[in-house]
Amino acid sequence: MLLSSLKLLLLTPIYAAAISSDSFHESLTLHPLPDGKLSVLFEFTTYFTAANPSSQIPQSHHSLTPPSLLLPLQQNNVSELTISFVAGRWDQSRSSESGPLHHESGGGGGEVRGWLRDDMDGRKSSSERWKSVTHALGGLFCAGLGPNDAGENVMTFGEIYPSVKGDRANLTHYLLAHPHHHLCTENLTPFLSLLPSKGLSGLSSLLAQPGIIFSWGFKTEGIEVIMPSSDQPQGRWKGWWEGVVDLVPERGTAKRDFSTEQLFKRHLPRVFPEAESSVIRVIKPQVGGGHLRLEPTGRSKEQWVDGELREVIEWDLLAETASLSGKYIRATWEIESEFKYPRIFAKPPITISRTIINPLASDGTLQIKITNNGADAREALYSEIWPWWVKGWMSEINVQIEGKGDKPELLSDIEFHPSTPPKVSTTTLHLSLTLPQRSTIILTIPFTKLTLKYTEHRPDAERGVEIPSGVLTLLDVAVQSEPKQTEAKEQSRSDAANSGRRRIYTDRILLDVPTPDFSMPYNVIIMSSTVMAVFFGLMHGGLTRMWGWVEVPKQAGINSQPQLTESEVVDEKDGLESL
Amino acid sequence: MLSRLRRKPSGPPPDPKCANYTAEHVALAKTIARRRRILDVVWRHVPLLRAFMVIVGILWLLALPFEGLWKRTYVDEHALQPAQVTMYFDWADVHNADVYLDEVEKIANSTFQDTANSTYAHVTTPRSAGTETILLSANWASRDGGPNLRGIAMLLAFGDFLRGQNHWAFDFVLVVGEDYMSGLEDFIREYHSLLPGVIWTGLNIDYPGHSFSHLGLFYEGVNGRLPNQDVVNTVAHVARHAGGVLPRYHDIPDEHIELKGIPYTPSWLGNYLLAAKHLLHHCAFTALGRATGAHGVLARHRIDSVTLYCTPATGPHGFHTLGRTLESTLRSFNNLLERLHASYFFYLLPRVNWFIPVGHYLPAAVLLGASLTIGGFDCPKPLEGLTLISPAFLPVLAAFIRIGLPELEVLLPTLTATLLPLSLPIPTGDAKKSLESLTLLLYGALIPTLAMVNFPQAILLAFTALLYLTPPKSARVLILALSQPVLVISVLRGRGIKLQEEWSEVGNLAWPGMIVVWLPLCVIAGRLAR
Repeated sequence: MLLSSLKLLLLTPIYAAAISSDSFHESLTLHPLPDGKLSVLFEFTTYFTAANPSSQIPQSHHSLTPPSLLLPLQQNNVSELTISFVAGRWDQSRSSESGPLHHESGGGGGEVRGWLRDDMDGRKSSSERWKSVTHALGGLFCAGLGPNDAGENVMTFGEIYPSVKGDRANLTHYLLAHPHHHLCTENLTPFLSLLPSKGLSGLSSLLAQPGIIFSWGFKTEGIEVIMPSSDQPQGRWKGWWEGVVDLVPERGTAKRDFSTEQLFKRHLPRVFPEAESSVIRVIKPQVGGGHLRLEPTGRSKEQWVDGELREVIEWDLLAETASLSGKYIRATWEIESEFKYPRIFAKPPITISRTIINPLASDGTLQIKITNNGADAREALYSEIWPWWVKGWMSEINVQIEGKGDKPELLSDIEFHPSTPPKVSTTTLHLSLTLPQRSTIILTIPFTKLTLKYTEHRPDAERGVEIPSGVLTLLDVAVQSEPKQTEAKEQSRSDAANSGRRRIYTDRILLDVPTPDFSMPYNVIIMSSTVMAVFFGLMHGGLTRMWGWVEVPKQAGINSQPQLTESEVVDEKDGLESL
Repeated sequence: MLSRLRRKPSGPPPDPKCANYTAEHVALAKTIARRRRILDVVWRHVPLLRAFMVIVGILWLLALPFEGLWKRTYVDEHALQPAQVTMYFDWADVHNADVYLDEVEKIANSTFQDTANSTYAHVTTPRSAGTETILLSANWASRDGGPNLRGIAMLLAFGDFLRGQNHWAFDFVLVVGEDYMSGLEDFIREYHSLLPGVIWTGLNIDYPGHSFSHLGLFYEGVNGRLPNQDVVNTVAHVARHAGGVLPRYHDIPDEHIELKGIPYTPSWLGNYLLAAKHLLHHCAFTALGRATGAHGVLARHRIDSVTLYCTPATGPHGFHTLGRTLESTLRSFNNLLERLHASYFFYLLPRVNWFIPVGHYLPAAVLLGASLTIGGFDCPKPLEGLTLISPAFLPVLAAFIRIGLPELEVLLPTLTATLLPLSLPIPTGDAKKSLESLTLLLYGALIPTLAMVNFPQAILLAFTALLYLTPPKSARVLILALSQPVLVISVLRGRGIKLQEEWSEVGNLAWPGMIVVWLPLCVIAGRLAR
């Protein structure tokens, strides 16, 4: 018996390796933006299977997958999990895009969200398991990702981040937003260590240069893990890193030609031996894409990218190792001697902005402007997450179309989950909206800031507090991935609903909090309060009491003597007159 | 209250030699008797005490320009680290500014109009999250009255310069306001519906001349609100050490003042006069709640900012110095993780590199206010006094309803200050005494409170109240006649100070303050002087 189980243990890796169908794919996508910038996206995808889900003995076998990432997920019965970090700000007005190329990257700051399977044994509640998995991954990513209190978890965003597997039975959705978080070098190193190529070979070696990539503008990093389950034995984990580079030099000739060598200060690396595919893509820009000349010549194909049919040039590093490895890909703009900054940019289908109007110490009004530039009305859901001390006035929500007055009928439904203030909790709000074509909808939500406890202020109390990005979820998008060539020619090259971008995020916002000055004046406040209290006592005593001599009348049997006493002013009339 | 304390005891004090008393009784009886004697003396000499407080208060004010009451300036917020950065603004940027200047001159010659509006640019720096913003502005009109072309050229060149630098953590808004102040005010009112970034600090550029010799810092905001002193100190430090130009406060040369007519002015006197000049310039603006520059309109919106005024001269400084000063200052602002706070908002600046902390100047106002308050303690009939004092505030009600109307500016003060004191019955005896006491108490309480927010304004109010309420009757009539509201308003208008317009445009509270505080005082003083 003992021997047989030992044999099983010894042989399991060999069996597992034999049935393993793990595969690793990597890609680098370059997307020139109209304002002379370039969006650079790395994607690393690993498909893996559960070691042996039917076995009674817990096993773990990893060839391409990182155990440090998958074990906590497995242990805590996580079905799907996404972590996203965003630094900087995506400029919708100048990039002609509603958001970054990678659609899973969340709003500003750090964000972790996922689906947890209900534990059949019921040993640990799902929120406990969520806490331990977020803390474990927070430790892995060198970022405080876990909740300080269970009340910080947001549970009402399941509709917005639906399960990739599709089945919601026995699943609970969790979301934690950390809008104050910044993506930095500390988060890159663990990310690279999760990859099978470890940033040493393949495309990841281009990424493993924090000095270069962290000098870029907007940046986002994240992972998305879909764990295998009994009915779907194949899992997937995907890591992405995206940055925006300004191509036009500040001084000298304003040209936006670029090459991979110029971007990464390196030649194209050799292919990572375990990679099943390794691809570099350039998405040709909408405006003037015909003048973009690429060397060496790649394979051209048409592809739907965020609602537009775009020409994409591809180089397969596996097939063309000889011609690409150690060399570089270069892009030059023909007939453009100098880049002229455009005065007008093509608008993305939807743009969204959020500001706080009428900012006072105690109150404010959120103003959300959503512009639908497309030709069709869109159905959407707008969602907000607020800390408990932001108290929105739901009855005062106003919806109007810019220049056309109030249109309350555009707001069809409000789903409001208020916080429960004595406990740490969050308020969430989901507004079902119709976005009419070619118009801007203005949503105003007045709110009051409740008083924070002394212990709830941040160390830098005078900074204010970041409020997570608002999320606009488009309900009508669906990806029809491969275009039919014949159809594409007949139809228009743009169809806003044919896009993988389900969500568009607003900027974060910094909300001023009425803050007592915690530094020097504390002693001043204490001191002056003491002085005032003493002064009040003095005045009160002076007005209500007086020292004097009271003759105590002689009584028989008592040896009376005059008493020096402190007597209350008894004569009310006398007191008034003397005032 | 004093009358209460003064009240005589009902019987004679007991004989201390009586055998029934313990030593403790005797000691206590002595204390009580001594306290009574002191209070009696004080009570008998209240007018003297009041005069004494006024004299000490005035002497204190006169002592403010002496170095003994000053402190050396320092930068309190360590994150600012002024003048500690490598600057990248160079001659290529200066050339850029010159090119812009040519263009701006072309525009200015054709379409320089006086409309309240503004143009702005939002500079999104590569790595900022858009949550915090720094404001940089240059308005078409300079404080000299001419066009501020170089200021605008500097602003535009600086916008170019900011591009591609990835060490900025803040976004920038560059604002070119029409006019001197109103354009920027319009912009800042609109700002929150345009952009999400919170603005903590700002700089306003005023560069009217061809070149400049000194950098003048104008810091007073509307309603006497001052920027955090760290902003002033940072700019002054950066100008001196990074820009290489000597800073000034306002446009006052930082040199000893030589008295004319005397062959030799001792250095202490020169220093004293120089500091007095600084303080008087400061008071001239803040006593009426007026801002010294366009930065002043930002103060109301919790933005700490100053105006950099480039004193016109034939040299030696130009765009290069100004650009480097701006860059280095903004880099300091860029270091901030939170709003400047540290209670560094109350100060007087007697000279460059020196300041008078709040504790060193506030007692002057408190003494003047206390002198009024003590005079009001003897109030024989408070209720009657209250009925007498309330009609003086009738015009406030009238003004509150129609405060925006232009005709009120002259009509209401004139009618109130002349007709009301004459038409109301003359109080006599205890009633008059009560009216006077209540007025003294009211204004005595107002002065130290105001002094915390706007010290020069509190001093102005203190002197007005003292002169209206304390001198002999004939003198009071003369003073009242000389300071008739209509007279004062027309004198102010003659000097180009339009308080009512400032109230509606930039929210200067001096105008409502005049109606709510000064007019009732005129009415009451008029009644008491009859």
